[in-house]
Amino acid sequence: MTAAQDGDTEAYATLLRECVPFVTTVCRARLRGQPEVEDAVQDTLLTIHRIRHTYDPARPFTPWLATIAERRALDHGRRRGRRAARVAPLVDARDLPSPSPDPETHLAVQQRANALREAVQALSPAQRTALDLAKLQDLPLTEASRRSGMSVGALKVATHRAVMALRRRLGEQP
Amino acid sequence: MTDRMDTERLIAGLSRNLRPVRRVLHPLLAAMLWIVIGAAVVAFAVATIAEATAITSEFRAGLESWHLLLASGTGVAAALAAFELALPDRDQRWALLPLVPAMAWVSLHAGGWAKHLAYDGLGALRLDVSLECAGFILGVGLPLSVLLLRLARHAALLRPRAVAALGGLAAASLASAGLSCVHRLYSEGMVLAWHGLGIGVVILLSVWLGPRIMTLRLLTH
Repeated sequence: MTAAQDGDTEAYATLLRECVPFVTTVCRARLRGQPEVEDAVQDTLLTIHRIRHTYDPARPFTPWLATIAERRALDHGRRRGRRAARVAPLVDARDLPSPSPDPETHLAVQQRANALREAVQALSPAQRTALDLAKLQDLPLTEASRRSGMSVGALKVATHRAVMALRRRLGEQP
Repeated sequence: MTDRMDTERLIAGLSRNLRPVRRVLHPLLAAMLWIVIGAAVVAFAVATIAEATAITSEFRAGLESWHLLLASGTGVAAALAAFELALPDRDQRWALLPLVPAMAWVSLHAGGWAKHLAYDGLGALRLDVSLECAGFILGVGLPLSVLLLRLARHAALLRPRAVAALGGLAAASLASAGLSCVHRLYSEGMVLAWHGLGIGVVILLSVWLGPRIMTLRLLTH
């Protein structure tokens, strides 16, 4: 971390990679579901990046890292709780009319979902983060900015570019 | 596997344009820096509202000196606690540091007011309006709180509210200490009411606006 604070990119990349298993363990203890854990891990990495100047080389690294990971996992847990409170209870599936058995429609939907997934994967990390925070999680811009470490302006630009890139890739007119 | 790739890409993105960073000041040094600036600001504010002779004549060896000592102690302890808590690897019990001086400070005036109540009866409940007390604490405390929150802005991603509350307490306590140099503390009830109001408002505003004040620099990046 000391080398990373001095600007050593290789040391930094190695450090972040080595942090991932530990951070994943911390997040997994507080969260359910791989996607949510993965989000919290990535959020933790972004936070490490934003406040890497707060690490004191004279002190052990693990408590510094653990606190950041726990904070991000708690934030994700709270957000999940708020989302759950807003979601209406599901109707019993047996009461619903059976979905369309049309295999062609089903296939088309699946293909579109795959295309969307691939288009999202092709976005840059910053665009994906912006899209996730500002559009999917629907966070206020200031909060999304705080979490991502990007300025509000950069966040708006990244979100706009992400949407435009998705439209281009999916063959929709912007 | 795809998610793993995401994290890999994020790591590559973060490390690609890595810039060297300057480490934050040690909490003790940061607290000392803020206290020196805070003391200078309070001294300047005190000097602008009173002549030097008035300062010495208003200041008494009894209530005011204890008020000055305990308010300053609370301010110093709260500032140190705020800078400690702003760092990820510090124990959350730092938040309790200002508890003892703050309780002693409140007890000083609560005890005096209780005696006054026993002696004077309902007369002790009558409070004169002393808006200048609350005004001084707000006018001096709020800028000092903003300064502390800017110095501890890295707390925005960790414990913004706790640090903001401690920052507000530190700033308002220093302002209250300064006020006792120029403003005679006529009765404990009045001190409890108007100093308490001023300090409470500074803390509430700090907690409310603190996270935004801390992230102000991030937004301009």
